[in-house]
Formats: sequence, structure tokens, C-alpha cells
Amino acid sequence: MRVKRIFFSKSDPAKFWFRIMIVGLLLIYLWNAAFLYESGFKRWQAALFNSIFVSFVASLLSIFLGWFFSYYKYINEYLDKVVVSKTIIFFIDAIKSIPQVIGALTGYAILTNLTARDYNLSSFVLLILLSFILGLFLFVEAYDMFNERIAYYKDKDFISALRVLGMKESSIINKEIFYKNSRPYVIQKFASIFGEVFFLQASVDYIISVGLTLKTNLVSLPPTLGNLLARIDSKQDIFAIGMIFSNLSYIFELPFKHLQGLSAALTLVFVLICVYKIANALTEKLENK
Amino acid sequence: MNFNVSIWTKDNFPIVEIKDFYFEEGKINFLFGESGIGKSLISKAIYGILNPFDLNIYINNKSYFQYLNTAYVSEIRKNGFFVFQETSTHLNPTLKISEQLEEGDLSEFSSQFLDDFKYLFYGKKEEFISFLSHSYPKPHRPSGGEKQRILASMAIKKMQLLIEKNSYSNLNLFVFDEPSGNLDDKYRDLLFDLIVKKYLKGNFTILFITHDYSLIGKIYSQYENLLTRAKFLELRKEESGLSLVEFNSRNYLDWLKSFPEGYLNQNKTDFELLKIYPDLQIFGRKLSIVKDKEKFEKKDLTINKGQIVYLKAESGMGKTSLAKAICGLIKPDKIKARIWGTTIDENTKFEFYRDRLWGKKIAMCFQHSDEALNLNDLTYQAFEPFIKNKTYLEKTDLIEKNLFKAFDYETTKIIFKRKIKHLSGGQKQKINLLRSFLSPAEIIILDEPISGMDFESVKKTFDIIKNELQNRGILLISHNEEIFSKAVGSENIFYLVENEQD
Amino acid sequence: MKKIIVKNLISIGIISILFVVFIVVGKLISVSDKSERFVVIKELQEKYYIDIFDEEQVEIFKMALESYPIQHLNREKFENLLDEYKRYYFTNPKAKEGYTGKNLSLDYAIDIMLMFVKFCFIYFISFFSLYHFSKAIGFAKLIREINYQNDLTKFAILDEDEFLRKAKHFKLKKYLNYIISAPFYLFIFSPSYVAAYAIRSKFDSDSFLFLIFFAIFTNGALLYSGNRFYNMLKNEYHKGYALTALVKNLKNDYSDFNFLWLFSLSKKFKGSVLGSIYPAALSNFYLSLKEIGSFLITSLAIIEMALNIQNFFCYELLKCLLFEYYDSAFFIIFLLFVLVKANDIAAEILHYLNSLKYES
Repeated sequence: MRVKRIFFSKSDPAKFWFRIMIVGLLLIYLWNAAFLYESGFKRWQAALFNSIFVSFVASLLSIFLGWFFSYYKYINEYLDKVVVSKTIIFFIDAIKSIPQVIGALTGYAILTNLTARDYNLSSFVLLILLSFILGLFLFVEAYDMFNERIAYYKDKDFISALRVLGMKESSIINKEIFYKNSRPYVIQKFASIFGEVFFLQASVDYIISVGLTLKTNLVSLPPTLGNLLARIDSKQDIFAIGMIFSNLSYIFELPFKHLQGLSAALTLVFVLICVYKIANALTEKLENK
Repeated sequence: MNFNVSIWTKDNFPIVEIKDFYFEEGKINFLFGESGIGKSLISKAIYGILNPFDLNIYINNKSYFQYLNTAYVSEIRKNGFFVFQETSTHLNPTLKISEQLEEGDLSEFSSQFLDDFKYLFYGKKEEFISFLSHSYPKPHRPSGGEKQRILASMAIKKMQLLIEKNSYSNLNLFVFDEPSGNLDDKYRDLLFDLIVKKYLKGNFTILFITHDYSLIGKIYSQYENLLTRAKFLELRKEESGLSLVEFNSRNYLDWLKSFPEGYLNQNKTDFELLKIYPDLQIFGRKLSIVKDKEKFEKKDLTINKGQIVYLKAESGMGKTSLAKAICGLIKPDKIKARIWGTTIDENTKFEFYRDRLWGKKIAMCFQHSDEALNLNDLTYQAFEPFIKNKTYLEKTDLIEKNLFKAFDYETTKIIFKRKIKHLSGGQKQKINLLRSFLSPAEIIILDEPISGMDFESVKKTFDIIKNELQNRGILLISHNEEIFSKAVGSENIFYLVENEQD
Repeated sequence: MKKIIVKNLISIGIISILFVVFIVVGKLISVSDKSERFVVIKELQEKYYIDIFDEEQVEIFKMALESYPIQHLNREKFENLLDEYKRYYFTNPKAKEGYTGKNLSLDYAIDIMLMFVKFCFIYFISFFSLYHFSKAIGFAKLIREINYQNDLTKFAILDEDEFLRKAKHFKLKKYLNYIISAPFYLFIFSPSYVAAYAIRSKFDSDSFLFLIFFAIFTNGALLYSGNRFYNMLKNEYHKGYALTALVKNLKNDYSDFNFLWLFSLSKKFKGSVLGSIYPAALSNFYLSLKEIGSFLITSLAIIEMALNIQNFFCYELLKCLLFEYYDSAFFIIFLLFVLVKANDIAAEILHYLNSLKYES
């Protein structure tokens, strides 16, 4: 079919997997709308939207912070301001040395502390703060990418030619290197960070939501796929998957009887696989240039 | 053998299409043509080393899959060799050079090979050659010229092995893709001599891709017996597409005779723009500028307004590094120069270059236009940032006027808003050159200004340089010694040599 | 090498000082449980069976105190103490049932260190396994790709119909592969907590084998690092020297390749193009071990925390964070930082030592 050929043509694997992701999510949405009870469906919808929103904003923030720190570090090195550039390098190294989940968890713990003390933060503000926390621990990847681009180009002849012709260093870095020669790399890094944030926030939300016992469960954050999975009913749904090993026919009942947890888990894993494939395809495209 | 070659990208964009590509078996076929026109790609396709999964390739109306399965390709792959152009990535960084010269087909022993290898490094000490062969290739050592000779020596070893086994024939295809691009005249001659010696013994088919037109002069003067066994071909872009024509070698020789010695320096003045004092040290290497290599006569290199000075040296000596040091792009260990009356040395701060020289007093045209230009720019964008205080229309006008110096009206209109990466090598190199001349700087350094150009473009560039010299001084670096030595005149030639005496 | 060690030791030194400061500040801001103040309330609850959240019972008790004060505790004092206790109960997680955890002390620090040693043991085995599995995956992927291309090229001598049939057969095989590998993909990409609940793990969740298995085979770790190595091999395969190796007619046909070789620790492939590119790819892979190690630590932390594995290092951290024992939490984070740094140093040294092999 022409539609099939155009829509699913694999000439650009990145676009192909992006379309697969959209269609897959749409199918899950329709299935849930048909078979998931109303409150569960609303919860799942909100969780999906919030998870994607947080991942998107955190990825944007990571790219911005990565650009800012790498550019600032380079300019200070160029102007021989060693102290400033070394401080930035040290600060970034310190962030890199903290495992991302630990950093995110600490940030979440502080945030939930604030919400527990009645600061009356709206859901939107909470989501932005969550994005900020996650972005803070993942921007180092974007920083590394921008640094690599500068390192690759800075001694190339065309950069030297532009310098000798009188172009300012800031224009060389931002316009010539980043804008004209690194846009595909930024897109690839964005996709890659998006996947990592999506995974990390689901995991941290899950951990925070589970807490230690129910009585220590703290103030609820906006619904996300992670805290949706942490609900008792969702966990029961995931447990039910194990039943297919003893009773294969149960696989046909799963999508009806255990839909909330199953769709939360499936959405999470499906998005992770698609984003992985997209980032991979973009990486291969860059390496085969 | 004739080939109808068609190469497209997987997204069906045409890259190269030629109906009648050929080379004569049993002869040395010189293939000229501007860089980027497709000489290497066509040769690789015919040799059978392109990946049919990366490109859509058809040869003689057969798919490349089918072509690769033919006996012809099996034969040339088994008993031929391909010497690649880009030396920096064609040596394995994790194997010693000697190991790379002994793997695969080259694993058989040849008693003659060691002598051949030493011949390519004639004049170098035994210890150097031994160190070189037991070293691992790194980005800057061996130098580009040394890497080129090492790669060429692989082909030479293959030739020698075939000769020793008596199993040579016309079907042995040896492709040398720009084997002398990084070599000065001395080593180019040594390499060429060795190839010719092997050829005469084995009667191989050689495809010699080059921009070095001075080889024509060499053959006419030193290898007249080879004239009947040499073929001069040129790949040209015409309105109907690519075509392969016989290159009229006499045209080149006549053109060379047409201008007098020192032709470019006829309007030299006494106004000093740049003076470089003879003793230098760059990257730990002590160098001197001399007028006479044999007598080691040190002399200040002076460039006056209207003068072009030719700086010669062995490849890898440091000519480009010296040029970059003068421009303040690298920090030399020791240098002393006078630019527009101001003395600079190794302690001069980079702010001086940035604030006083760059974009104002000095400009440099770097070699390899692929690396000297931002390939993602549109053509006019290569010039635009450097035209200040003009409206958009004024800028467009000025850029077009500049382009008209090197291109005709129609070509200018076509390339004006085209991405630089889609231009041919010759077109890129012209833009590279024109951009330097757009600068108000009076001191221009030209590093290999005619590299990658076809003969017509070389002639045009010559005229551009002649015109631009009127109010400027030029420091020239080039491997095209035959052309520029005559055009510049012997009194304007200097040599950069290693200073072993101090 | 000295430079690598010195640079990292300086970093560790400065961060250590910062962490000491954090630990001290953490100790100060850790909300004390103040539970000693409310021992009286607890005793009254036990002795007189009062539910202090039941207003009626409390009112009766207050009336009784009015007439019969106990141990210097009269109605007014009791009311004040009760108010304070209720405020404390609702705002301080330490007041609730089920909490454990403590401020940092010598004994507790030793317990934490022992948990850390356990964590490191699991980490090193997982890391070592992941390293070898990644290389195996990278190689398998590239060899499969090259063999596929070689096979299709060979089939080109067939007539067009037969060739198309063969190409279709390959495609079908590929799609079948996708369908068969879909459940494995879903498992490998699942967050560990989803995978663990889904298979109703027969393992004890606090067994080492369980942790190692899930660290490697969930959270996408295996494919992420395997793909990394594959990309590095592919990158080298496209470089000029691989083309020169082809021209020298080094072997590039791996149809007889024994996939069990992938699991042997030394991979030579002598006389082949893969053998030419492997050392350079490996050298680049050593540097990326920093990120892989960091990701693995994150993975293990998620497993321990999400599955609430008692007496394990990261779960202990979670408890300290949630119960606001910040001094202990910072101490644990510091130990994790040291592990990450040790991993970085090891990767850089490995890369450096490897590069020394190729110095003339």
C-alpha cells in the first residue's frame, strides 16, 4: 500500500522508529480507552503525558546547560582564564562522579521535603522542578558532546582560516561549529538524553513512591509512569505476567484483566525501545557521513 | 578496457555518470582532472572495492553485485593493488609499519623490497629508516609525505613479487591515487622512477591519478622512450556530463614556455611588508631560511609590495607550520619577523595577532579546500561575514564581482547559493583563494593554491594571482615546483632547511 | 599515568573535604527524633490504653488528670505535650511506625562499609561480565552484517528472479528474527523492577546471582554497551586502513566463524580485516568503560532500592534519605563517588596502558 510504503519506509531508520513509536502509543491509547476503567485510563493518560513532558523539558535543559558550560569553559581557556575553566571542569567532573539515580533521588528527596512542608506547589511547577533536577544530572552528556565538537574543529584549517580573516571566536564557536556543523549531533544527543531521562524518572518515581512502608509514603507528586507502576494494583498486574509461564492461555486474558499495570509497563518499555532505536539510527547516520 | 559507470546514492541522487571511461592495458595511464570530479570513485568502483550496500552502482549496465562476481574483478583484486590518496587514515595505528608491509598478499618475502623501500627514502640515514619501519603510525609521525611513500611501497612490493614469480600480465591493474600529492620534487621523482622501473619489467597496467602536470615535463625530458607507452587522459565536466578525453600534454608544455621567468614578479616594489629572520625553531625542530641549499647561505626572507616569494622545502619540513606561526595560529619555540614595521617573536601575545593582524594585515589561504572551507556553508556565506558595513545588495554585488574573477557568469549564478560541499574540488579551491583575496590584508600566504585544479583552472588562478599582486605581497608554498619556480624567478625563491649546524 | 592518578586523586581529595562538610552539616540539620521528650506519652498509652487520636478518650483522661495529676503531669502540661507530640507525629517521618536508620556513628559507619564491600563485589562481577558480553554482542552484530552482505553479493551471480527470491528469504528470516527476539528485547529494556515482578523471581531477591543477573540483563545495559562496541568496530571498519587491508586481500569472509569464539577472552582473528580493526576499537572502548561503569552502578542502585532489598547498600541510602539522616546519606553517597572515581581511574589507566603498546 502506498501509505504503508511512505509511512513505514525504512530509508531513514530514525524517522521510521519515530513513526512506530507514535503509532504504537496511539494503539495503546485506543486499547486503554476501550478496555481500561475510567479512573485508570485518566491516570495512565496523565502519567504518560507527564513523563513525556518531564523528559522533553529535562532534555532541552540538558542541551542548554551543556552548550552553556562547554562554550563558557572554552572561551575562558581561549582567554587564558585558567582558574575559571578549571573550576568548570572540576564542577562537571564532580557531577559526573555521582551516579545519576543518586543525584536525582537526592533532588527528589529535597523536593518532596518542600512539598511536605506545605509550600503549595502546583503540578506544573512540580513537573518543571522535577525536569530541572533530572536535567542537572544529565546535562554532562550534552556538555561532553559540545566539547567533542569544539575539540574536533578548533584546530581544523577552516577554523584557523576564519580566525585569520578576523572572525570573532564566539561566532566561530556558536555559528560555525555548533550551528552549521553540529545540529545533527545535538538532535542525536537530545534523543539519547530523552531516553535516559524517561528511564531515570520512571525509576526514581517508582523508588520514591514505594518508599519503605506505606506509612512513610510522602506527599504525592504528579502522576508519572513510575509512580503508576508503584501502585499496588499495578504491581499485581505485573505479577500476573508470570502466570503465563504456567498457563500459556492466560496471555489472552492479560490485556483485559490486568490492563493498568500492563499498559504502564508496556508504554514505558516500548518508548524506551523506540527512543533507543531512534538514537541509534541517528548515531549510525552521523558515523556513516 | 571500456567502462560505463553510474554511481548513485541510496536515495537516488546521482554522484558520477560516465559512458565511456577507459584506460589502456599494458600502459601507464595518467588521469588528470579537477579534484572531486570522480576520478577516485570511478577507479575504486572498477577495482571492486566499493561497498554495493552503501551506493547504487552500475558498471556496463550490470549491477555492482554482478560486476564484483566477474572474473575480471577477481583477477585485478588478486594481482593488483590500489594506493589510496588520503594517507592519514590508510595506515593501521595498531600495527608496526614493517608488519603492515608484510601482511596479506605482501606476506611473501622479497629480497629486492628492502632496497626499493630504502630508495624511496634516499638520503635518509639507515637508523631513520629502521626506526620508521619499526614504529607505529601516529597522526603527525610519519609525515604525510612519508606515509604516502609507505603506502606506495606496498604496491611496489606487490609488483616486485609478481615479477619474481613471473606471473605478471596486462591484467595486473595498479592504481596510484595522487601518490605524490604530499611529496616535493625529489621524492616524487624517486617514486616515479621506481614505478617506471617495475612497470618496464612487468608491463603492468597502471592508472596514475594526479594533479601534478609537471610529470608531463619529466616524461618528455627524462623518459622519452615511455611516451609511446604513456597515455594522458583528462576527466572533464561538460554540459552533457562527465567525459574522458585525451589530455593534450603539449598544451601544458607550451603554456609553461609562454611566460618568462619571474613573470609574477614583474611589478615588484621596494616597500617591505614582511621580513622573516632566518633562524627559527618550531615544535622542537631547528630550521633556517637559506637562499642556497648547497652553501647553506642564511638570508632574511623579505616580501615587498607587488612581490611573490616562493618558500620551498622537503615535505614535512614545516613550511605550513611556519606560515601558521607567522599568522599567530601556533606558538613557535623561536621566531623573529617584522610585519608592517612591527617586530614579532615567540613571546608576542596572541592578542596582538587577534587585534592588529587578523582580518587587517595578514590573510592565509590554507591547502586542501575541503578542510579550509566550511562545507555546510552556501558559497556566498563563505564571503559574507568578512564584508563589513555594507547592505545586503552591496554585499551580494561585491561577492559576485569576486566570483567573476574565477568563474564565468552562468557558473557564478549557479554556485552562488549552492552548498560548498556540492561543488567540485577545483571550484572549492578557487573559492578558498578568492576568500583570502577578499580580505583587505596586504600580506597573503598561499598554501598550495592550485592543488586539486585542472589545467584550465590552473591558468585562471595564475591570472588571479598576477592581478592581486598589485597591492600585496604573497608568500607562496607549493609542490608545483616546475610551474612556480619559473613564474616566480630564482631570486625570489627561498628554502626552509633543517639546521643541523647550530 | 602519573598525571591520570594525580588528577583524579586531587579531585577525590577536594570532593572528600566537601563531603566531610556535607556530613557535618547533614548531622546538624538531621531532625532529631526527639522521641525522648515523648516517652511519657508512650508510657501513658501503654499503661492506660489510651488512643491519643481518639478525642473522647483523651478528654476523659484530661478530666482524670485534673483531679489526679500523675508525676508532675497536670492537665495543662499534658495538653501542651500532646499538641507538640501530634505536630511532631505528622511532620516527622521518624515518628511513624516501621522506621529504622540512624545518624552516623562508628558502628553504623562500619556496617555501611561492609554493605559497600558487598556492593563492590557484585559490581565488579557484573562489570566484568557486561564487558565481555558487550564485546561478544558487538562482534556478533558486525560479523552477521558482513556475512549477510557477502552472501547477498555471492547470490548476484544467480538470475534476477532467483536473486530476488534469496533476498526475500533473507528478509523473511530477518523479520522472523525480530518477532522471536521481541520478548527478549522487552525483557532487556524493562526497568529491573518491572522484569523482576513479571517473572515472579524464583531467586531470593537478596541473592548475589539475582542482583548480577538483573544488573546485566535489564535496564537496557547489555544492548546499550554492546551497541557501543559495535559502533566502535563499525567506525574502524569504515576507516581507510580497513580498505587497505581489503586491498591486501586480508580475509573478510566469516561464514565459517564459530560464535563460541566470542566468549573466549582473547580474540585474535589473525589475517582478517576484523583482526586489523579490533585493537583500535578496543582501545576506544576502554574509554567508554567509564560511562558503562557509571550506568551499571545506577542500574544496581535502582534494583536494590526499587526491590527494597534489606541490608543492601543502596537501600540503606534510600532509608537515610527518606528518614532525613543526611549525615549517613552523604557518607553513603561519598562511598559511591569513590567507586565511580575508581572506575574512571581504572578505565583511563587501562586505556593509557593499552596505548603504550602502540608507542614506538
